[in-house]
Amino acid sequence: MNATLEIEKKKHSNIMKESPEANPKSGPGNIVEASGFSVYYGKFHAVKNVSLGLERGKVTAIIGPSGCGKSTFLRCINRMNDLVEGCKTTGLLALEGIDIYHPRLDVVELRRRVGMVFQRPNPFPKSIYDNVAYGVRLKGAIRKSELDDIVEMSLRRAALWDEVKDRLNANAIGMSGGQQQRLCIARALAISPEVLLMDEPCSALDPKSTARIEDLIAELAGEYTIAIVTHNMQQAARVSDFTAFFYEGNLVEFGETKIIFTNPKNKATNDYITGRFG
Amino acid sequence: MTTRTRKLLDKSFTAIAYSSLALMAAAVAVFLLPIIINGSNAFIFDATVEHEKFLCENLDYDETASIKERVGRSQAARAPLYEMFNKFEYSGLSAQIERSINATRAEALKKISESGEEMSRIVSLPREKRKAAADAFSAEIWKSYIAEVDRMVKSAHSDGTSFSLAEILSLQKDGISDLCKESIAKAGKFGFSQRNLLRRALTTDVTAILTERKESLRRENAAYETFKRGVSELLGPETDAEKESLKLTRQKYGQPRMDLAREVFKNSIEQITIHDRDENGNEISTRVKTEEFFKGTPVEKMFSYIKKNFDAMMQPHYTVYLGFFFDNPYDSNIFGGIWPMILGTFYLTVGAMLIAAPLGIIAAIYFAEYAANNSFVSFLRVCVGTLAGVPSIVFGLFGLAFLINTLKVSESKSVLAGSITLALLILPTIIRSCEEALKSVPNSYREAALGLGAGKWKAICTVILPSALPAMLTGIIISMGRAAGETAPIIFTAATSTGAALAITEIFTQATPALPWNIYNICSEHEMAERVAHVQYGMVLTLIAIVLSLNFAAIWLRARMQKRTRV
Repeated sequence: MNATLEIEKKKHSNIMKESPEANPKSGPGNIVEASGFSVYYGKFHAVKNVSLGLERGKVTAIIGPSGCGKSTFLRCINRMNDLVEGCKTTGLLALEGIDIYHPRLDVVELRRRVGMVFQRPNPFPKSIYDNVAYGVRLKGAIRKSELDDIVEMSLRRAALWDEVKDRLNANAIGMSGGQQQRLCIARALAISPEVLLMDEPCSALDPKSTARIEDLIAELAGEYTIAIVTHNMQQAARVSDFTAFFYEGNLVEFGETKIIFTNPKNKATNDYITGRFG
Repeated sequence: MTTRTRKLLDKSFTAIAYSSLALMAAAVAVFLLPIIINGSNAFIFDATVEHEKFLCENLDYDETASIKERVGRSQAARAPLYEMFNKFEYSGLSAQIERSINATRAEALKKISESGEEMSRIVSLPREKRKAAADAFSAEIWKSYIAEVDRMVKSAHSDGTSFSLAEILSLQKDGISDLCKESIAKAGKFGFSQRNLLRRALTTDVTAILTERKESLRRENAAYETFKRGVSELLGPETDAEKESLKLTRQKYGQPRMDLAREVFKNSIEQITIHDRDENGNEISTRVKTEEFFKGTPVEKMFSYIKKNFDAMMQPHYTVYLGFFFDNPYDSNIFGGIWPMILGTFYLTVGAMLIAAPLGIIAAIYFAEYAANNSFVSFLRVCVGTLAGVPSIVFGLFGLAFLINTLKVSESKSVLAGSITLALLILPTIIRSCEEALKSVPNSYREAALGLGAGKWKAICTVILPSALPAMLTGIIISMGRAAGETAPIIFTAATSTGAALAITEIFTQATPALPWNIYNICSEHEMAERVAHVQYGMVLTLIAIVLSLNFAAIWLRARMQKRTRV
């Protein structure tokens, strides 16, 4: 898969008008890079001219009131918004310097590198094993023993192995909501993505399950680059290294979480994190 | 609105809902119960010994000891009846009758030859007196002869000799003119015109009387023939030789079912039709009671014998004839089962499914997953909708005109052409239901699959189709039920009213009987529709059972698969 992307990169290196170095906000360690990135739903301008970078191996939280464009931005990173009719983007969004919206980019390869966990747990109506193995099998034929190893490793990483090791053939639909969400994370991890996008992964879960997912995020940080959209200010403060605050489609403030939560530069950020609106 | 009114409204809605449910259940019961009762009558019924004879001789059923015993008992019970028939038709009395009639005739002729003077007197009388005198003379001559004939006719009724007597009287009538001529010649010398005059005078009346007596016997004989036909319809032919000479299966065997046997007894034995002439000479037929018509004759004894020994002759036997579903029909469904129709329906339905299901699913996938929201797709959707509304007879004509006449998929009607036509008929429904099923798959499944790096086609194959499958199968199976029951499309393309069960290799070239068409055919175009009423109901029940079991299979399948796939 890397080979494909390599080719794309070489062929269209001229597309990359702005190199990562040219972006003042980005450091050399950014794996995902947005600059002047806008999203339109028809005529509605959902994300306005956003420039930010996700640092490799770090957790970035994206916060903001409903309808501020944070989910839209997140879903653009693995082009999930392609499914939405009338969705259009301008500006640059790059994964390791490769334009994500280049017309000749292989979306399938992109999505293998950028995994996603959705707001509501959405395991397939298949067995637990098949759920985790799904993405791996898509890559091509693989030996059963290898697949078993990958499934076990992914479930272990998602802190689910001990709970399900005896019923891998049970239907995933029968699990609890928290377990389902961790299964979805395991499923995403199984294809070893570089970036993991989480779209309010805990909003449908009870506090206990939420705590487990948060622990999991903490464990995964470092190994994966994680972007998490959340409504929960405490959660953002707890799990993330960087925080981006979106408001009405604009990136209002982006910086280290500690700073954003203790000493926000912008008044709107301050109002939001202190609960005055949103 | 007060709480009271709200509660009242709630309750009344509940009541309306319940009553409409009850009404539906009642409608189903009113509709289905008669079909079930009458339909099961096709294979669970009181069979007669004739039914078993037919099965053993034509369908290689085992002739078990109990069947042999019943056949034997029925033959024993029938033997006295056939004895009576024989006695009645070939009476030993006939020679005696002929002798005694001939004796009186000889006497009369002798009298003629001895009455030369009397006859001379009569011919010499003036014209106006001559007629009366001649008639009186003739009456005098034939008096004892006529008396003898009348005596015979009268006793013929009770002796059962009317058959032979009619024959004898016919011979007498033919011979009498010549014999008179001879006797007149013996009596003396008369001129030509005198001779003719005498002969006319002597023969006219007696011939008329003989004819009249014979006619009276013939009427009785015809009635007897009718009666006997009724008996042979009930019991079948008497001997094997007679059976061999008959062509139709229905003539070779008596009534196979007790209900039909009773019907035949009532219509053709207990009452018979006799033909008379009214005063204008037109033939009129009247129904008479056998018992009254043949009162005091041997036929009355036969009738009461049949009545008394009806069960012994038919040997009723409560039977579950499962062969009704697996045997070939004989003689336009009067005997045997409905296997070719069942098999034909199966071929047509499965054939239609094999064509329509893949096409329908592919089209549905296109509509649900790929089609853009443009005017061309809308146009396609309208087309599918229109196709769903086209009357089925039009599909039938299309199948004939396009598939058979233009494309020549087969030389004439064939299962293949019928299947394609049925497939086109149900295609819109399948597309619709499959599209709905695909659209009802939660979008999150699509997102999850795509998010894991599945291509669109992969996502459809591995996640979306499996989740939509229960609902899709439901739609497909219900369409299958519709295909099984459609009549109009197969009239022109696949159905024949009679025919053997097809082998799988023949379906590309051969037409087949099929339940829906044969139900129509047997009800409306069968020459003996009322005699195969049980087969009509049996076919209807079978068809309904097939369609209902398909529908139940759909429900079961959906329930089973939903349990596995949905929350």
